[in-house]
Parts: sequence; C-alpha cells; structure tokens
Amino acid sequence: MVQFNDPDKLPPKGVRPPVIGPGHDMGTATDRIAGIVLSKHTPLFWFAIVFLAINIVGMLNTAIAWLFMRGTGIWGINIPVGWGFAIVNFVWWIGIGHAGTLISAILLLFKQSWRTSINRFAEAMTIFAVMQAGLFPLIHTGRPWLAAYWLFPLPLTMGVWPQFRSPLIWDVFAVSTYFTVSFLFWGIGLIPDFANLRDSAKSLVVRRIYGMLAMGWRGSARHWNRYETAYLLLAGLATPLVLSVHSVVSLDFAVSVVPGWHTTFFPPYFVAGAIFSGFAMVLILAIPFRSLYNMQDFITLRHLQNCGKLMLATGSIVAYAYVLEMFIGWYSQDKYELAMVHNRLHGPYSLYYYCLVFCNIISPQSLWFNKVRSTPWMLFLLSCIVQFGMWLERFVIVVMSLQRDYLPSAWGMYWFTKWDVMTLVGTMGLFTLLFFLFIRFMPAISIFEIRALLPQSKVKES
Amino acid sequence: MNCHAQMWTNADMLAPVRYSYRTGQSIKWTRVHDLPDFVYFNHSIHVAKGVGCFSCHGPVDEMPLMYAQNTLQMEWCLNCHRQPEKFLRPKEEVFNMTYQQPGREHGVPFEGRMYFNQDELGNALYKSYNVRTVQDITSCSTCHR
Amino acid sequence: MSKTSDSNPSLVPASAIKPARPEVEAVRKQLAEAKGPKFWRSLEELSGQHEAAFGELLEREFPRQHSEWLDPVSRRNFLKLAGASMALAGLAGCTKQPLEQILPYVRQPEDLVPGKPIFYATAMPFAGYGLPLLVETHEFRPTKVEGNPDHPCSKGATDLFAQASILGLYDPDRSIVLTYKGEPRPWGDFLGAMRGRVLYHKANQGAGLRFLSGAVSSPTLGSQMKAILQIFPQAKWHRWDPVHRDGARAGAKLAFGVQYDPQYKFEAADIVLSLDADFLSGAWFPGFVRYARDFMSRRQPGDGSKEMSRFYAAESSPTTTGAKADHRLVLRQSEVETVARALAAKVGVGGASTVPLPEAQQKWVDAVAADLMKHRGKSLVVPGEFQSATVNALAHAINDKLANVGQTVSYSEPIEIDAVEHAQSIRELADDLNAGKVETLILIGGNPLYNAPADANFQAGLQRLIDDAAKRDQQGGSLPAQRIVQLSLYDNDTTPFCHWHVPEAHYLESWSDVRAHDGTASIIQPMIAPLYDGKSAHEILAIFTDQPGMSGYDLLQSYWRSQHTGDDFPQWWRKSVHDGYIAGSVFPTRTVGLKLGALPGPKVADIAAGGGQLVEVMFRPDPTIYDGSFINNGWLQETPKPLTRTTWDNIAMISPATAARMGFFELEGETIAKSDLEKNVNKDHQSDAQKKIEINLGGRTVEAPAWTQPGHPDNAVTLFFGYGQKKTGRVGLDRSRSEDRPEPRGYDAYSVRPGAVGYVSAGTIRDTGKTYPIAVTQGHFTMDDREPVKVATLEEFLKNPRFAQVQAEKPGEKETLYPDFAEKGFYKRYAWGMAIDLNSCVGCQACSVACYAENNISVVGKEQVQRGREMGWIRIDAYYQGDPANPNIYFQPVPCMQCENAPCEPVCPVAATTHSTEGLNDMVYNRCVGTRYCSNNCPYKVRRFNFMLYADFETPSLKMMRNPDVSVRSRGVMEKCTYCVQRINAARITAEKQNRDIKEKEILTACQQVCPTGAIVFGDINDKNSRVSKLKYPVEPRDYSLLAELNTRPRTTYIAAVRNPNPELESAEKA
Repeated sequence: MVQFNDPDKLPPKGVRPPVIGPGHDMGTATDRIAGIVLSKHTPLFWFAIVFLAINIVGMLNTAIAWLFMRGTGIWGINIPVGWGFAIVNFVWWIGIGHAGTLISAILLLFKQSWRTSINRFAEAMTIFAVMQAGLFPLIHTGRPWLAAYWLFPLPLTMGVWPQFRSPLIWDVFAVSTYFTVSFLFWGIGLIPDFANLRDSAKSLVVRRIYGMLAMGWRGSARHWNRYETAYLLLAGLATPLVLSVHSVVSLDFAVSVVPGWHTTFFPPYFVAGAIFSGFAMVLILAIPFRSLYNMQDFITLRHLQNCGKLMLATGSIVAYAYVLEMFIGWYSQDKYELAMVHNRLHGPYSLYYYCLVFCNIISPQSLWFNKVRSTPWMLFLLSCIVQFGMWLERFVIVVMSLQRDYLPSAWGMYWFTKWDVMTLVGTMGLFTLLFFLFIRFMPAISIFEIRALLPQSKVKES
Repeated sequence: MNCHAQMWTNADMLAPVRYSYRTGQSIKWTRVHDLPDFVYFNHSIHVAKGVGCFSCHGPVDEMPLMYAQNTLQMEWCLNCHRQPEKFLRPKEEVFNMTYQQPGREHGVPFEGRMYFNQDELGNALYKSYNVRTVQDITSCSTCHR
Repeated sequence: MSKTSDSNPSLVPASAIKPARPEVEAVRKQLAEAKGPKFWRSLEELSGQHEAAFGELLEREFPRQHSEWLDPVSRRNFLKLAGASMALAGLAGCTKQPLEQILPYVRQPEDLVPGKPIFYATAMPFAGYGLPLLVETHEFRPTKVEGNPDHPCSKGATDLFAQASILGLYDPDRSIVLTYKGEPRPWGDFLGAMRGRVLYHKANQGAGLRFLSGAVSSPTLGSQMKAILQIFPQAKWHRWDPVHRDGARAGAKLAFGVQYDPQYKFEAADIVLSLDADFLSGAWFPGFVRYARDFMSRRQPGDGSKEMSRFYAAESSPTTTGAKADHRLVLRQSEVETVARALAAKVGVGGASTVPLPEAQQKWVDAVAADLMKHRGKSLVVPGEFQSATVNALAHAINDKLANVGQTVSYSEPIEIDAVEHAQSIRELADDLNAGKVETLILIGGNPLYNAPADANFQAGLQRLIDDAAKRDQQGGSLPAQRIVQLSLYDNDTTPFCHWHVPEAHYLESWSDVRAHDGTASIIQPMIAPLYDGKSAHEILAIFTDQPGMSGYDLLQSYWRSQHTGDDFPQWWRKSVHDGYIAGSVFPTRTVGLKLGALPGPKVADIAAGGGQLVEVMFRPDPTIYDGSFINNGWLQETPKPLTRTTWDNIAMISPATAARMGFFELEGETIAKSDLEKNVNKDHQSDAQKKIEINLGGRTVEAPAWTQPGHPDNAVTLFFGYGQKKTGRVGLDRSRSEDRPEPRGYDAYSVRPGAVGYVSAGTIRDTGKTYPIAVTQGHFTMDDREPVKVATLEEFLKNPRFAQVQAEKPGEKETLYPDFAEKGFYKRYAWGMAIDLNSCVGCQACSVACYAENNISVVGKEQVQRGREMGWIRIDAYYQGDPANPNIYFQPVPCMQCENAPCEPVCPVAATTHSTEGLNDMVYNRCVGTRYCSNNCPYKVRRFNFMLYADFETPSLKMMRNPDVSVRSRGVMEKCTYCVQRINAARITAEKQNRDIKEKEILTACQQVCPTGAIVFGDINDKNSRVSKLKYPVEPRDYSLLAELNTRPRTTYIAAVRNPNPELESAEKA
C-alpha cells in the first residue's frame, strides 16, 4: 500500500492509518527502538535540551532553598488568598499524570491495540508528573520539616494522630498510592525490554546494568505467564485510580465552604479536566519525539488522531462543567454563588477567566476537523494552548474564589512573585530533564508489545 | 540558706550555695524537669487535685543526684490526663514519698472509708475533688496556647 | 510557667554615679564585640567591666539591618536564619529539649510568686492629662497596661496610646546614653555643667534662662516651676504642645472672663450637639475614656429606664465621633463657626452676629435648635478643642442659655497649671532665640525643632544660640558659654541642636504625679528601674532648685508632705500610691457667670475670596501616632487609622467632590450620586496607589498622598501631624527604598503649619501627577448585599425589636454534618461567648492594640501590610452607606467567632485547631504545619499567618515585654484570637483550687477590658444570669450572628445598631 510510505500524509477517506508503519519485521522494530538507547552516538539536540533543563532545575533549587530560608512569604499568597501557585501547580501536574494511567491501564483492559506504542512513555510522563505534583503540597506548608512526617499516621510521642477528616490527609494517601502503583506498573512493563536490551547490548557494562534491571528475565513461558497476570492485576488496580485520585484532589475544594469551591460536581469535572490536559501533554511529548527520532512508523497518525478525539471528548465534558458552574450559580439564587459568578465574569481577574474559556472551550472545537487531528504541528500547538488553559482553570478556581468570599471587608488581591514563577518553571525543567534521561536510557516504546502488533506475529486460526 | 545555716554549715557540697549567698549571685541550676516553652504547666492545680509528687518526679528522696524519672513527653502527660483516677491520691498523701496505692492487703483511708483498690479510690477522689472531665483536661488549650 | 532567667534590672540596686568618663574610642572598640543583653543602666556598665552593654549605642551610630518585624524588605543573613530555624525546630518539639539553665533568686522578694503577675496602680500622663492605670508586671517586668477600675476617669478602660506605651518603654531605639555634643558623658559631668549654669544665672537673676515644656498638670512639676521662677525672676517658662487647646482656653476666657475647664455629664443629656468635638475617638480629648462610656450609657434603645439620647454633629474633618452621630452636618472648619453663631442666635444668645446660611444648613440649624430648646437642662453642646475661641465661647453661652450648666455641664479650675497660650508662648521663645536673648535653654521633653510652627524660625533661633556658644567657647573669657539641654525619650530632630542630651525616664520608670481631666491627682509610681538610667523632669529641675541628685521619689514626697500635713502621712501616702489616686483631690465645681465678651471675627481667610482656587487646610493630630511622639511605635503604626483603615502613613483627606474636580473620583453623572460610592471606595487592598497632591500654604508647600474620604467637607483638605520625622528609630523611618539611607515616613504637616491659626488655614492644592502606595487593611468599604452590620432607626426598632433576625434562610439546629459536641458531653460546665454592641463601638482601635499587647502579636511592616499580611487578631471593619458626600458609617469589630460548627476545624490535616469542651476553637501553634487551609475555609477571615519570621526572637528589651503566658509564634504558623484563653485558664485554675465556679467578670478578655464604651462583653452563656447571656437572643432581641445562614453558630454575636434620627431632618434628608 503505497500511500503509507509517507506516514504524515493523510490516508484516503475511510481508510484509517495503521498503528504501525508498513515494512517492519521483528528485527527492524527492535533495532529501531533499542537503537535509541544502545547507540553510542547521542544526538546533539539531546545535549542541548538536557543542558537547558539542568539549568532550569538549578533555578528550582534556588527557589526552594530561598523558600526554606525565608518562608512561604516569598510567594504572593496572603490572607484571604492562602493558596496560590503552589496548589495550582499541584493540581495541574497531578492532572497531567492521568492520561498515562488511562492509556496504559484502561485502554489495556479495553484491548485497544493502538495504546501499545505510546503507553510506555505515557507512563513515564505520569510518574514524572506526579513527582512534580508531590513536591508542592510539601513545600507549600509553613513548616515542611514537620509536615513531612506529621501528615503520615506514624505513632509519635505526642500521642496524637493526623486528622482523617481533612481532605489534605486524603490527598496524602491518594497521591502516594497513585505514585506507587504507577511506578510498579511502569517498572514491570519495562522488565522484558530491559532483558531485550541486555541481550542486544554490545558493551559489558551496559549489559550488566540492564541485566540487573531485567531481574533475570529469561522470557520462559512461565515468566510470560506470570508477567501477564501481574500486568493485568496492576492494570486492574490502576484503573480506579484514574478516577479516584483527581476526585480526591477535587475534594480539597469541594469540602470547603468557599463559594466557587463548595460544589458537588467537582470530582467528575476534575477527572475530565485531568485526562484532557493529560492527553494534551502526551501529544506535546509524542509529536516532537516521533519526528526527532523518526518514530513515525510506530507513533503514527492513528495515535495522534485518537488522542485528538479523546481530547475533544474530555474537553467537551470540561466545557459542560464550566456551563454548569455558571448555571448552578444562577439557579441556586444564593447571593454568594451569584457574587462568585459575577466575580468570574466582571471581577478583577475576569481576563484570566475569558482567556481560559478560549483555551479550553473554543480552541478544542477545531478538533472536530480531521485535518486538525491529522496535522501534527496543529495538534502540538493546540495541546500547548489547552495545557495553558488547564493551568489557568486551576488558577481561576483557587485564586478567584478565595479572593472574594463572604465578608466584603476581608476581600483582597493576589499577585504572584518571581519566586512563584521560578518554582513553576523549575518543575517544568525537572520534568523535561527526567523525560529526556528516560528517552536516552530506557526504551521509550515497548519493544515486545510492538512486536506483538506486527503482522507476522498474528496467529492464523484455520 | 534556711536549714543549712544550722546544719552541714561547711559541707563542700554546699560551697556554691554559701558562695551564692555571700555574693548574691544566683547558682546556675540545670533544669531537670524541663518542658518546652509552648507547654503551660501549672504546678499548684496538680497538687490541689491530689497528684502526688512521686507520680511525676519519681522517688526523689532516693536520688543522690536529681534525674528525670519520666519522659515528660506528651503521650506521658496524656496517659494521666486520659485516666486521672488511676493516679489520684488523697491530698494529705501528695508529699508522701512512701505512699502505696491501695491493694488487696493494703488499704488507704479516705473520707472515713477504707479503699482496697485504686479504681474505687480514684473515682471517689475524682468526684470529691471534682476533677474536670477527661474531655476537659485533654482539650488542647489546657496545656497549649 | 515562666522563667526568671532574664537578668532583671529592677533587682539590681540603683548604683550611684561615679564620674568615670569612658574613653570613647575604647568604648567603641568594646561595642564592636558587644554581646549579651543590650540594655544597660549606668556608665559603669556602659564602659563595660562586664559584658552587658552598648550594642544599642552601636546601632544608633551604625544602624544594622533592622530586624524582620519592622521591615521585611531587609534581608536577614543566612546564619541568623539558620538560628531562627533552630528555634523553630525547638518550638516544633520534634527535637529533644535543649539543656536549659535556671537562675533562682538568691533572696526572693516576699510578695513575688514566679509566674504570678502582680498589678500596681499608676497613671499615664498624656496630652497634659493623666489616665489612671493598673499595670500588670511579671517578675517586676511591666507587660500590660489596664485601666484603673476604681478610678472615676477610667473605670477600668484605657485607650490605644496607653496600651501602646508598654512597647514605648521597651523600645530598643530609645535614647540610652547621656551625651554632650554627641559624645557619651557620665551624669556627674552633666551635674557639674549645670551647676555652672545655675551659679551664672543666680548672678543675673536668671536672665536668658528659658524652659520649654508641654502643658503642665503635674502638681509637683508645677511647684518646681514656681520655685524656679522665684529663684530666677528673670527666667521664662515657655509652653508648647503641637496639639494645644488654645481655642478652648481662649473660648472659656471669652465666655467667663476667667478660664475654667468644662466637665461634661453625657449620661444626663438627652440631646447632644457636637460643634466639631471629637470626644468619642480622640484620646486627646480630656476625659475621652470616661465620656465615651457615659455617652454610650444613653445610647441603649432596649433599656427602658432612660430614653435613648439623640446626637447631632456639626463636623469638619470626619472623625469616628461624627460616624456615631444620628445627624451629621458636613462643614468646613470655618463654617462650624457660622453655624454656631446662627444656632446661638436661634436659642437666644445675644451678641452673636450671624451671616445667612445655605438652605440645607439653615434647615439643620432650625431643627437642632428646636430640639435643643425642647430639652432645656437636658441637652448639651460640646465645642471642639481644635475650634476657634468663638465656637467654644458660643457653646458655653448656649449651654448657659439652655440652663444646662449644672445639669449636663459643670465648670472647674483649669487642670493645666498656670495655662498660657501655646502658640503665643513658642513664638516668644523663637523670637528671643533669634534676638540672641536666650543663654540657657532647657527642653523638657518634646521636639520643638520638628513641630514648632513653620513661621516661627525656631531652627534659626537654635542655630544662632549654638553659634554664639561656639564663639564664646573659642574666646574663653569670663562669660560661660550658652547651652541647650534636652531631656527626651528619643534622639529626635531637635537633638543635634542641643549641647546636652539627657535620656528621659519613661513614665513607667519614674516617680511623678498628674491630674486627670476632673482634677483627681494620681501618683505615678515606677514599675521598673530605668532601663537606660534615664532621668525624670523632676530630677532635672531639682538642679535649678538647689536639690541636685535628689531622687524623683523624694521630690514627689516632699511636695505632697506640704499638701497633706498630718501624722497619718505615711498611711495616706501608701493608700494614695496603692489606690492609684489621691482621694478627694477632684476639683470642686465652680459656679460661673457668663460674661460673653465681643466675639472676634473668623481668623481664617474666606476661601470664597480665592475665586474657587483656595481650599481650607485643616490640621489634625494623627489618629494613631498623635503629634508624632509615637512615630517609633510599631503597634500604633500598624493598627489601622479608624476611618480610612490606612497604616504606616499619614494621608491628606479630601472630599469626593474635590477629588472628582481633580479627577481622582469617577462620577457617573454631573454631581456625586449614591451609585458613585460603590465604584470609588472599593479597591482591593494591596493596590492602593494614591495620587500625590501638593498643598501650598502661603508659599510653604508639602506633598502628600490624597485620600478621598466620604463625608469630608468640599474645598477643604485635612493634613495629619506626626509623620515626616528625619531623626527617629527604625520604625519611624522608611527603609523600603534604601537600607542605609532611610527616609522619613509620610509627610510633615508641621512644615506648612502657621503658628497663629492653629488648626485651620487657607491654601491651594494641585495634582503632582505622582502616586504613592498606601498600605490599607480593608479594601472594600460597602456592604453590598451582605449586610454584615444590621441597622434600624429607633422607630423601626420599637415597631419590630427583632429586626436583626430577618435573613434569607436560617438552617435548622440539626442541619449539619458537624459532630454534635453537646451530645459528646461538651459545653457542660462553661460555654464561653461574646457579644459585641455595634451601637456602642466607636472604632477607637483600643481593643486592637490591647490585643497586640496581651497576645504578643507581631508587627509586620508596611510592605507586608500592602501584601495583605497584617497580624491583628481583632480588626474593626468600617462600612460606608449612602451618599458619598455624607454617608452613614458603621464599625464592626471582628475577632475570631469561635464557631460551634467551625469550618476551620475539620480541614486541618494535623488537628492543630480543635474544639475545646468550653466551645473555643483552640489553636495549637506548636502543632500547626501551616497549610493555611483553615484560613481559606474561614468565612470571617479572622485567622492570621506568619508568612515569614515576623516575631523578633533577638532584641532583648522586647523579650522582657512579652506576655509570658502566650507563646510567641514563629514562622509558618497560623494564629488567631482565642478569647484570651490564658486568662480563662488562670481564672479557672484559681477557681478549681477553691472548688468553686468562675465568677462573673473574673475573666475579662483584653479587648473587653480596654473598651471605653463597654461594647464588648465576654462570659459564660451557660450561666443564664451572666451579662453575656442577657445580651444573647432572645433576651436581647437585637442580637444576631454574622453570616448566620452558613450555620457556623458563632459564639461571638453582634447587637444590631440603632440610630435615633430626628424625624423632621430625616424626611428632609430623604427628600
């Protein structure tokens, strides 16, 4: 089928692009993917990006060091706006993670074969994102050196326990569980590929290292059997997390009395938003990756299109939530809710709100067009817009609600400081750094699962 | 000086005391029973409600040099605040270092009655000294402000 | 639990002065390695045999980066921070207790039980009058000031200045060393030098010997003054208080021929008319504390016994007094006089020529006059002390005409001893200085160089004296050189112009006496030996009465021996000192005959003449730092000014219309409409960049940030005194722009104040185009649809006493997911509650400052306040309603509500804020990790967070000041009002030990105790007979909860405000 030699070219109507480029056999697939890791030659752009990322991480360290020296006062937070960037970033990052779990777990259970070539780095994305997210709840506290262990139910000489009624405690459990499961899931998935790298590695050192990581994987039938079971079990474990984690996070707000927080539809709204931004992030990572490393054969238009569709779906749910928020505000006829709506539309931060409406509601509508869904650069641009929009969404929820709550005399403003920005950008740098290290030293695409997709691995039943 | 104006007037042990008395400079004592500054402990109320010296300070009379018998950590405090009746004793026994809690063969008189187990005695004392409820004395502001 | 480990100055015997003169260089060297406590008491210590010493001097010479609580912009170095975080770790209790040493008393003072406070009676001299006090001392360190409950002029209440004076005592920036031309000198040298002056002036009858002091109401000081003037007949004693009462004094003279002080009986007045009198907020109004209480006793509509009084205010610059008025007529200061004349004519006072008034004013005058005449003998007209002699005289005349004298007002001898006209007196001194007639000038306190009238050339005068002195010093010769001596608490702008500077002893450090507004004399006894070896005015003056070295105590006693002859003197003395006042020393009432002389015409130029260019410039003392003497007081700087809620700066008030004319105030239509208020007064609090305007008074100009104040008269501007001092402590200076070259804070109103006119003049204002940031603690001044303050007129109230209960929806008792604490056995014994009467609250800020003192609250500095991080536990919200030109203004004190269903409690992840069995929301600082979730979830936003290390853990003198019963919160910790739980616990323990219940009034919260009007009542709501339960719904129908619809069930509730307007005027205003 000639038209697929150029993977970026649109297929004729009615024909869906394949999940894997034509003309690959076990050997080529393996070499192409393992090649990235095993090749002696590291591309220049890799060094460039990693160097940049390292510098940004340095900035992050400075920001955090200064924070620990001076206190949270270096940020823009105040009374009434007690939560600012830190919580916004936390919710944003944790949301980003969700797509990874969704792809690897839920799509696996639904036997979506196309997931295979993107699940590996999607999972990596999840883990790295959760790492960023996990940073914030800790450093945003006034006395992190205490929060670090008082938030966990450890027996202490004080004879008191954390308070389990507080959503922040639920967060601690939700996030730590999420991280653990995702990490195991990811790790187990990697074992066969590590073995693969071990076997095809030239240098002794490399072989040793991957050998250790492979944990003695021999690929025997029993191994495979156990592997499949474990993987499936973890998938089962991870699936509810996709829904639960961000639901719990949303409760941080929903449980409170603050107008604009105190709403029952937050959990689904947050989960949808999370997956929305998650897929945006997958695309932001996948599109450069496939072109930088010529992986168009393995991450094909099919994947991009599907991500696009998922974004459209979840984006619509988010849009619905925005409408609902306004509607309920009006429908309740509660003066505080009404004031909240009015503040969204006409308050000092209304510009942020309109901006977020454009990013999260209007711009994703372009995904109705196949052209957009199948044009990488458009998708990339759109994903960036959405990502920004989702950050704004959290800003609007956190800051705009707190800024004007009940007593007019107590209303105030919030302005972020350079330290807020440095911390946010810093985590982006850390994320990038981790991700590129991952690409270089681990198979970013699951080799053996790709193999399973190859035509020749299809078993014919007669 | 008090007593030591009369007895052991030139014991080496007491040299610092005499020096301090002469010069008017305070002796630097090391605080053995030391609570953190955010804990507000009132001695008098414990004495008034029948908590013996021994309960917190241990056998002081047998200590050649003072040491802390108990950790004075929060859980230790709570241990008593959560069940005061287990530790209360008649007021007149508060300073008695050899006081024994009532047992099967050893009774403790209180308000004209002999008690042979601590629970009964404790509850009686608890009522008659009207000690505040456990919820009261475990409220945070009892010790922290 | 309190430690006695501070070295306790009051236990060190006051050491005699040896004339040991330290080598300044050596001393400097010592300074460099100065360690340990930074306060010291004598030159021996100073020159440093032992460690204690001198850092403060060092600091004064080379100011270090001042500490966090003053100016967060400053960067603490890393070590300091590391140290601090150690402290935090310690506070957290997650480390082992560091080994601690204790220093017991060698001979313990018999009356001292460590950890138990002792209260001593004394009095605070302020604005020429005494405020009787009880001072709480811990191990002989004064830590808190309360009013003297037995004293008629206080009844236990105080004002914000008295509360803040504690910080003044321990202020690390106080002047700490006696200097001659800036060099440290021992007291002996000074005595010697002065001796020379005395002998010299004895020879010349005291020609050229001048004294300058404020108003004198201390009997002992008065007698010393008289004695000195006898010894030196040629000597002159000048008087200068920048906030003087010349108008009132002259007014009384004008009315009665001789001067009398009025004594008002507000409790007897059905109708009160204020002619620009600020008797409800101005702590400088003699008897403010007493008067506020009396006045409010007649503002209770529920109380059947007395009918609610009606209060009219004809006011120029808006004050909280005007805010409490039922009808407020907005006038320029000069117009108050014309209105007073018209009013006088109406009630039939002869000799008051009148000019036709604008219709609105005329209507007002007619109505008020009618009302006054309806209540002959039961009405009261109070003249403003910043008003002209005419207004004061007319007020007396009207009271006389209405037969109020003897009923609602009586007269007594003047409290001030041989009162003079201050403006006159300072002018004479300045002229003599410039004429070179002065040879020895003794400045008793004060800061004349800074606050003398702008047109008096005082600085030039001092300069001339100094130059002459320098000349003579060079020539040598027989004539000794001229000298200027300053006795003052601080090194201020005047100090560089003085040869000798003697550190003054704070009133809490020295023996003296003073008279309260009704003449009752109080003995001022020291609470602590002078921290820095300061001297009192008595001790300085003793030098001139040939009693050098005589202690203040002896001087005081010798005077009173002459007053109270008899063998029982020792007992009498003991009693007087113990009680805090001298029984029967109140001035007798004088029967006065009105001889209203010819009234002088208005002094101030009619601004109409200026063809719309001129505006009236009014001068007022700053609401929180007064005449500038409190410029270095962090509490007073940070506590918001009542009406504007501004902090750390003085502003220039203009009216909305004037602002609109200058383009600072947006109008929808042509003229000011109600709708314009909303848009203009509601800014968001950190963002208050104000336009700077230039005020020009006859060539002298000053630039000041304009503040549009609803209710301010048009074509007028109010300037506030006290700011713009160049030489003062770290609080009073602004380091936001440069660490090393600090600038004055605010603008200096004195620099344009002409001497003759006192408080009002005419000038021009123009927009400079510059802006200036003002730190405001409240951004939104309208209530919107929230109605946090519920109001009704007396009529409406009588129709429906339950008017405050009306609200959207009242959730049912059981409609909650919160645990039912009552079921869990809470609230059984005590249930603490509070009721705040919005009718009585005058927004004077005393409660707010008292809370700072009682609860060791940190000061955060202007920059942090701009970011919305002020720490005050009780804030007083101000709300404006109606016409911007003359709005209704309401005050609402908001402490923690201590909700029964507290939203803050369930959200704390570490259970740092929990519910006590008595219904308090306990806040456990040492458990708090600072997630700030509780604050987010608090609908009242009464929680405060230590965003940085605001508390000062280093300055030794401030350590001495702290209340040992309250933790000092460090960085990253949430804090809030706890109903003064330390006081509750203390009272409970006492009661428990005696096996009884806590009695009514045994616990007073700090805010309740200080409140002059008794607006705050705290107590046990389980006890149905307690005052607080009687103030709760349904017993008190006006009682309502803030945001009741949230079902938080606050223990702090409010008693709705009731106004008592005059129906006629009301209808007129409506139309």
